[in-house]
Amino acid sequence: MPPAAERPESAPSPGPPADGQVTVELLPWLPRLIGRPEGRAARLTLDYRQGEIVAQFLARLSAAYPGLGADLWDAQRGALRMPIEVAVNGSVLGIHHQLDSPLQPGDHVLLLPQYQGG
Amino acid sequence: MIAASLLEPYAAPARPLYGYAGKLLRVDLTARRAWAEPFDEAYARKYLGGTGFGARMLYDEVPPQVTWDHPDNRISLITGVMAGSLSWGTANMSVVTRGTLTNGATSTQANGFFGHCLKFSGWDGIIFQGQAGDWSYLLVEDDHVELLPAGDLLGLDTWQLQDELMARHGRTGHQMSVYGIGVAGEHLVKFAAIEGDYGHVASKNGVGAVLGKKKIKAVAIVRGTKPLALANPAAVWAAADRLSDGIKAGPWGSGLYKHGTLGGFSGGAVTGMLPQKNYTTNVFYTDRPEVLEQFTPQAIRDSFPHRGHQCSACGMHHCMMHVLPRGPHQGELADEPEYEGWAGCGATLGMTDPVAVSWLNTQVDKAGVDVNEWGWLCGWVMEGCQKGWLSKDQLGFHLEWGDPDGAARLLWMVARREGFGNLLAEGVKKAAETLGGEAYQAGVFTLKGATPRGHDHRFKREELFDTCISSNATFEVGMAVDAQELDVPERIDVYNPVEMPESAAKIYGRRYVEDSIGVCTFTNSVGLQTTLGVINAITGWDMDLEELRNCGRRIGSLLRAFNLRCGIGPDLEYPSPRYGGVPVDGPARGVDAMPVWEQMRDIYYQRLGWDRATGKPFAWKLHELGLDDVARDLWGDAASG
Repeated sequence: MPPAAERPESAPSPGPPADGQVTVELLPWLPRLIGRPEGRAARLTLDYRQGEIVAQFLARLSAAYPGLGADLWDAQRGALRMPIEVAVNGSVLGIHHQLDSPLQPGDHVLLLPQYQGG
Repeated sequence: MIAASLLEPYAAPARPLYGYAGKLLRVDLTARRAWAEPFDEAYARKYLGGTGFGARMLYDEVPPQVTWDHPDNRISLITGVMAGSLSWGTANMSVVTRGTLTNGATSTQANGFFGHCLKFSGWDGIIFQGQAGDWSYLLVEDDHVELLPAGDLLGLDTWQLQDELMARHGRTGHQMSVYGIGVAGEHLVKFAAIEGDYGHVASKNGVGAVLGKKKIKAVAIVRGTKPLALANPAAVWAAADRLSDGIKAGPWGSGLYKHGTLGGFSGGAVTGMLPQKNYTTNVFYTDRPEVLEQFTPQAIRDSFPHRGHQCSACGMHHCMMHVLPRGPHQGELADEPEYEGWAGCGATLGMTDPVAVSWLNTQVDKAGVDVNEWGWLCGWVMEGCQKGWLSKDQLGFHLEWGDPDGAARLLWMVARREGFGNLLAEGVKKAAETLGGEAYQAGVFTLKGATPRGHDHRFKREELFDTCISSNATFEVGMAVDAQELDVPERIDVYNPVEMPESAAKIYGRRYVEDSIGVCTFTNSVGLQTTLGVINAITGWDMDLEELRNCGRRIGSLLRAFNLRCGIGPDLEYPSPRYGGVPVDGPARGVDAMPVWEQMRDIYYQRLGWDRATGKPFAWKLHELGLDDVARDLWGDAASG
């Protein structure tokens, strides 16, 4: 059961999140890692915490959803793994945000698989 | 009546070479001769098969003056040690030749059933040399090898070709694997592909044109009756299980296992990875969520009736045949596009209807061209029509963004070299150079002439860099998959000009291993150590990870040395202005790789042991890899010892 702070949204295409929240979106088969049907986007909202950086936010998310955490982090090294891409407000880490960048209310965190070739 | 086999008598090896047939089929088209070329275990262990065998052959047999269209050029279709084993997706073969777009080394792979049929016919690969006097196709059934007339097959598309040869030889299902060229290969289109088994493609650097120049329409391999010896069959079972379990459970393979690469479109649209309208925008689809929703994996699988179309021994669910559910081609069978089909026939052309994209993608397959180059070319034409630097008079009609029928018209013009299609058949680099000015600035290509994969690499900087530096006409490094075993960061910051090239240098060689062992990259999305378990169980070797990685580095070095000998050097390791440009909108807006390009090359060269001035691998590096002869060729006698 997700903590009360995390409220899965019922609407498939919600409007902009309210102040004081951070939206998380998972594509396209990652939703199964949080117990949702895969193939379509899944969205969550988490309460915004003052001063929280991207890494802390992802750790909080991982604690709530250990299945996601297992794929997101390398437990031995304590580092974020490569297979899941993390984007904040549409830009992947390394462009406008780093792991130590603070989040803001209303930010949108996207998790999706990395792709190459194919 | 069965004609006499061209194959000259040969002595069977004294003992089986575990995992290999132990011999290559050499076909001299000019002399109409065919013979067996056995190889020993030491050679197999050094070069593995596939790209490795092909690279060694290319380096040894194709001197610089033998250009892609010269009769003395070679083209090899070779599988690897895992082909025919129980491991998933192991019918892979690698095509190696001197290709058209770069006039340099090429390594490009396809799967289906080719490697499986070939191995059980008693061959690890086929090498063509010379040029046939008349259009022909090669038939292989165990030791029966024939060159048969193909004049009546000209004009057939790649699917019709398979239908016809299966019927002609009384085969059904997977009893025969047919790889051949479409109309594009017959007309020597510079990005013609070799296609087979309905939708599988070895696509890069005009390998279809090389085969076409040799007047070979197809290669048909009957699933043979020869045994394949495994050193430890029970261990192969166990190791293959570990590999497939690793794919199903692992972070890289699990998504691929179920949906293949379908998610790349919708995910890439959001992050900027999806190439949209010839790199002119990165928000076309995010501005149209109702369109983007139709391209999600579930929407695609829900809206197209589909069934599995797996390669030999494969348990993945990414290869599908599906039926077009509506529109002018309703009811037609199509090969469900992989991500790059959705990109090359969809996003880069501004298409909005997945049914039209799927139809166009199958047209591309049937015409027999590389879907990546096709996307860059057609998108470039569409942009030219929009901006006016390409006129209706030049093209013969006006082509709008998102017009599938117009795109198909252009495709067949190019495939048959009709009108302006004759210039376009040279590829986007040549066409852009010919028109010049704004048209040149709009082309997506590398200065070597190679075709980028179907991503917006301005977002995927590691692939931009890799594609431009690579020696195989596509990218050669790829992903680590298992970061720990290759000693790279768990998460590589690809925008860090130090960390990215350092990591790429450590990964270098992994992909060449993969392309040499007869396995698909998707069914190898696990650590190399797991793959090595299968290889050792098959062969009885005690190879360790470093030895395997050195095989990959060796193969890459051979291809690099070949290219350098052909004059393809560091001065060409750059993207075109558009390819290496700066996104004007979207998530990667303003990101620019070029200010750190030389810094990245400095680090990459240094880590790989390449000379910064000439691009040559240093002699010590080549000696380290057991390539003493290459060291002598590149550095002279002083390099010996």
